[in-house]
Amino acid sequence: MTKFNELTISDAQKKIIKGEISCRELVLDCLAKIKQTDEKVKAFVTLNSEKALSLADEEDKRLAFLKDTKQIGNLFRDYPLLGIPVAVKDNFSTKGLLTTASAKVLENYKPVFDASVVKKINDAGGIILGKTNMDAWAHGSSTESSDFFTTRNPWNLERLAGGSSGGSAAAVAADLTIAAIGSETAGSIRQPACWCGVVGMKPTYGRVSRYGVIAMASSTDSPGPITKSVSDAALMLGVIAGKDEADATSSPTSVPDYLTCLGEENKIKGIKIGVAKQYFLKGIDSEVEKNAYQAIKILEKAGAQIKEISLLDPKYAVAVYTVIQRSEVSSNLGRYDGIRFGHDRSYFKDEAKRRIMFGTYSLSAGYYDQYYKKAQKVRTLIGQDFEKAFKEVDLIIGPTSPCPALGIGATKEASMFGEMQDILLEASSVAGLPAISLPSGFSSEGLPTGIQIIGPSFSEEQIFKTAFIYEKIARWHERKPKL
Amino acid sequence: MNDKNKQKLKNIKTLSEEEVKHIAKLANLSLSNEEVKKFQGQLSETLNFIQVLDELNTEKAEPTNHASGLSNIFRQDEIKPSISQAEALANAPSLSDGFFKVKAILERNDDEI
Amino acid sequence: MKLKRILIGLEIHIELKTKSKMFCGCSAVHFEKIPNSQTCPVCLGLPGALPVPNFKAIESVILIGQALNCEILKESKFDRKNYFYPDLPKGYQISQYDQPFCLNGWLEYKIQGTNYRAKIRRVHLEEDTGKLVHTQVKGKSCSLIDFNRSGCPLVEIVTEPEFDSSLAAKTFLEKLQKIVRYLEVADADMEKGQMRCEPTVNLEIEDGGKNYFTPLVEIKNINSFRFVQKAIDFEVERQFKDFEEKRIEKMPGNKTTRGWSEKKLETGLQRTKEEASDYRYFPEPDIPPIFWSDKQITNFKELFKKIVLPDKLESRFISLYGLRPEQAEILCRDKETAFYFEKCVELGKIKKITSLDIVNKLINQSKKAKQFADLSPKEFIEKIGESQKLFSLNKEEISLIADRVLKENQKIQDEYRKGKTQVLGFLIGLVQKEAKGKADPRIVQKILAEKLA
Repeated sequence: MTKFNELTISDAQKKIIKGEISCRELVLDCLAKIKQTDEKVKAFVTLNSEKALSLADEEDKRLAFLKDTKQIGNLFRDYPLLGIPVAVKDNFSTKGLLTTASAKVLENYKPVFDASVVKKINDAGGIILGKTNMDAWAHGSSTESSDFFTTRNPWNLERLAGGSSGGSAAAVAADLTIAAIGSETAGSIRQPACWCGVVGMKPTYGRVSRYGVIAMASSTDSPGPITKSVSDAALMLGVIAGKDEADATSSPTSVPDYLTCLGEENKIKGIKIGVAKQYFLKGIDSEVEKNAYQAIKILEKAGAQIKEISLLDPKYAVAVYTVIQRSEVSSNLGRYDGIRFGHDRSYFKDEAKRRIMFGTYSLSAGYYDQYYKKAQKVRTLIGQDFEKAFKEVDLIIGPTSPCPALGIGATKEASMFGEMQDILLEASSVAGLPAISLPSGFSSEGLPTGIQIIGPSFSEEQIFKTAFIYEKIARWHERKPKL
Repeated sequence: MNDKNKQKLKNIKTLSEEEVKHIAKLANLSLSNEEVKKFQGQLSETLNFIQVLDELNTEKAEPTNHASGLSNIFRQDEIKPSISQAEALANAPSLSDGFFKVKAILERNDDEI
Repeated sequence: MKLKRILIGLEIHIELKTKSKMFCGCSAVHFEKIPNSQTCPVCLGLPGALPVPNFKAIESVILIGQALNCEILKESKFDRKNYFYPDLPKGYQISQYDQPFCLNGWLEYKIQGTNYRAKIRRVHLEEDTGKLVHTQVKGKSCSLIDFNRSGCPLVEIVTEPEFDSSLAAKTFLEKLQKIVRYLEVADADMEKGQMRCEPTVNLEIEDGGKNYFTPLVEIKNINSFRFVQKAIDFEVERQFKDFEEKRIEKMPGNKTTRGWSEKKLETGLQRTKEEASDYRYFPEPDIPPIFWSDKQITNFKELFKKIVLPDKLESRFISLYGLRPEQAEILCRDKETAFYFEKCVELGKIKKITSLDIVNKLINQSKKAKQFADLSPKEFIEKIGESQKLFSLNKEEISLIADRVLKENQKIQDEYRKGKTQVLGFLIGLVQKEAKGKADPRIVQKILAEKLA
C-alpha cells in the first residue's frame, strides 16, 4: 500500500476529498519518512513539525464541517493547496522559523515576515513542513557548498543532489514531502530536479514574486515549484504566480489557469519544437544524449513538429551569467554585517567570498565597462538570439544537465563549478525565459537523466502542456528511489 | 606560435596580491594570506574565462539591465504599518536602549563625543 | 603669495516631505521619534526585502529640478552605490548615477541688488541612511544606530564649483531653501537636519607669477546657514596657511573630508576620501527603469506652472502693488506671508485700503511679534480699517484746520521759512489738537509742507 507521503498533490487531494485520509495523516506520514530517511538524505535544515501538525488539525476541522464531497471540492477551489505539506528552500523568509540560506552567517536568523511565496502557500492552505538545504546563499549546483552539510541524492547516496535547490529536489524525490519550493538564478531548480529525477519549473522572470527570498542575483532570481509530476508543478505555479506590490519586478501579466490547460491534449499537434545542436555539447554524457533524443522522438510521435535550430554557443551565457551574477552577489551580500541580524562578515565561507571578490572587482572603477557592461550587452544578444529562434519554433528542447548526478566531493577546488555545471541553463536564465526540467529516463547506473523545455516569456501554459503529454507517455516520474 | 595564440597570451590577466587585498577591503572582507593567494589564482582564472565575451561584437547592443521588460513601477505615497521596535531589534546581537549597538566608530567629530 | 580665487562647490541634501519613505510604507516623519520604531524589512535591509519607489518623491524631485531650470531626463533609473557603514543597512545606498532625474540647470540669487547665476550640475533622488549616535555605554565608547531615518527620500543637488565667496554660497542656499518651501516639497530646516550642505572648497593661489590650486576639501556637519559661511571662511584661511607651509597642490586622490566643529569654530580632518571612493555603481536590479512619455513630461510641467515661486511673486508685488523691492523681498521670504498679503490686498480694495498701507502694517507687525498670524486676512483688514476710520477728516477739512492754525501762529511760520524746519512737528501737533486726532498725520504733514513752501 502506498504511504501517503508518496502521493502527488492531485492524488492527495482526491483522497482528502473522498475522506480517505486526513491532513494530519498526510503530515504525519511525511514526518515519519523524514525521521526514517533524512538522516541519510539530509534534505532538511529545519523542520516545522509541531506547527505543521497543528495547521493540519485546523484544516481537518475545517473539512469536518463540510458534509459532501462537492462542498469539499469547492473548498479546494479557494484553497488549492489545502492540507498539502510543502518543503520550502531555506532562502525563503518564514516568519518565526529559522531562515539561513544554509549559510553560517544566518544560522540563528528568524525573520519577522513571510516571503510573498510563503504567504501565498499559507493562504492557499498549504502546510510548510520545513526548510530545505541548499548551497549556501544559493551559490552552487551541488548543495555540497551548504555551510551545514551535503544533501545526498536519493537515487544513490554517494551522489550529489545538485543545487542550489538540492534539499527541495531530494525531499521530493525521496517522498519526504508532497511538493517543494525552490528558486533558480540559473539552473538551481532545473538542475537538482534533473539529478533527482523530479519535475522542476523555473518560471518567467517576474512571474513569481521575489519578495522575501534571500537575494542571489536579483536580475535573474526566480522562485518555482519542484514536484513529483507536471500537473503538480502547474498547480503550484498557479498558486505562487502573480503581481506582487512588494516586488517592483513582478509582472502584472494575468496568471492563466495552468491546470485546466493540461487537458487540452490535442493542442500539441503541429506545435513546433526546436532542437539546438549547440545544446548537445561535445563531451555530453551519451546516455543523457540518448534519452533526450528518445524524448524528442516521443514528442514527435505525439504530433509535435521537430525542427533543428541554431543558438549561440552556451559558453557565452556562462560568461555573462558569471559576471552579472557575481556582481549582483557582491552587492546583495553587503547587508550581512552582523549588526541587525546574523553574524558578521568573517562568517562567510569560501564560495561566497570568491563570488563577492570577483563581483567587487568586476564592478570596480575602471573595470565596469569591460566586464559588467559588456556582459549586459552580450545578455542582450542572447535575448535576441532566443527571439530569433522563437520566430521559427514554439519551444526549444534539450538536455537539462550534460551528465547525471556527480559523486560527492566533485566540487572541491573547482572555482567555477556551479557556473560550468549549468552551461545548458544559463542562457535561458539570463534571458528571463521559462523552462521546465523533467525526467527523461535513467542511466545504466540507475541515475535519473533529464530534459528541459524552454519557451518564450510567459509561455508556461505551452510548456506545461507539452511536458504533460511527454510525462503521460514516458511515465518516468512513477519510478521511485529505493531508500 | 601562431598569431591567435600570441593574442591569447597577451590577454591573460593576472591579479596582483595588492589588487586582491584592495578588492577585499572594498568588499569589507578580511582575508588570510593563504586566502589572498588562493583568490589571486582563482579570480585570474575566472577573468581569463570570461574573456570569451570579447569574441562577440556588442557595438549595436544596449545593455540589458532588467529581464522583466517592465518600466515605471511606482507606489503611491501611503503609509503602511511598520514593524514594532521589538521586532526590529529581535535578531540583533548587540543593543542598547532601543538602539542597535556597534563598536565606537572612529570618525566622529569632537562635538559628538 | 596672493589668494587669487576661492572656488566653492555645494552638495546639498534635502529631505523630502512625503508621508511615507522612499521605497517602503514606513512613515517618513522621523524627527525625535522612538528609536527604531518606524522601520520595516525594506528600510532595515532585512534579507529578501525589496524596494518600490514612491512616486510622490520622484514628482517632488522633478519639481525642484524645474525650479532650478534643469532639463528633465526622459530616461532615468536608480543605481546602487556600494559602500560599508553601520548606518547603511544594505551595504549600498539606492541612488542615481548616470541618469539622474534632472540635469544642467541654474539658479539666480541676489547680493546687494546684483544678480548672480549659479550653475546646477544635477538633481537626483536617493535614500537617507540611519542615524548614528556616538556615546558611552557602561563606560565604553560605542555607536548607537537608529534606522527611523533610513530610507527616507533625500534629494541631492550638486552645483558647479563656481561660488567665489562664502556669502555667495550662503545666499544661494537661502534662496534654495525658500524655493523648496514654496514648492511645498520640503521643510528644509537646517537645524533639524532636513537640509544638509557639504561645501567643497579650494583656492587658486598666485605665487611668483604662477597659479596653484590647493587640494579639495569637503566640509561636513554644518547645520546652519551662518555656519556655512563661517566654515568656508575658516577653511579659506586654513588652506591658504597650509599652502604657505606645505605647498601641497590639488591632485587626483588627495581630496579630504573635514568636519565642522561648532564648539571650536574650526574644521577638523575626518577621513581620507581615497578609501571609500570606489562606490561600484551599477543599475539597481530591483527597480525597473523609468521612461517618461511626452505626456508625462507635459504633466510635470503643468504641475510646475501652477506653483508660484518667490522671484515671480516679488516682481508681481513690485509691478502690481507698487512695493519697493526690499518690501517685496521681505514679504516673499515665506509663502504664507506672501499669500496672506495678497489676500489682504484683495480684501482691502473694497475698503479702500491700499497695498502700501497693508505692507507697512505687515512688515512692522512681523518685525515685532507675528501678531497677524492669529488674525485672518479679513480680521487684519478690519483692524487697519478701524485705525483709518479714526482719521475721519478728509483733505479739504484738514486743509481748513491747517489754514486756521497757520494764521494763528504767524511767528512759527516765519521761523520755519527761515530754515528752522523742525518746528513742523510742532505745527502738526497743533493741527492734530484742533482736529481732535481725526486727521491722518501723514496727510497733515503733506498739507502743511505744501502750505509752507
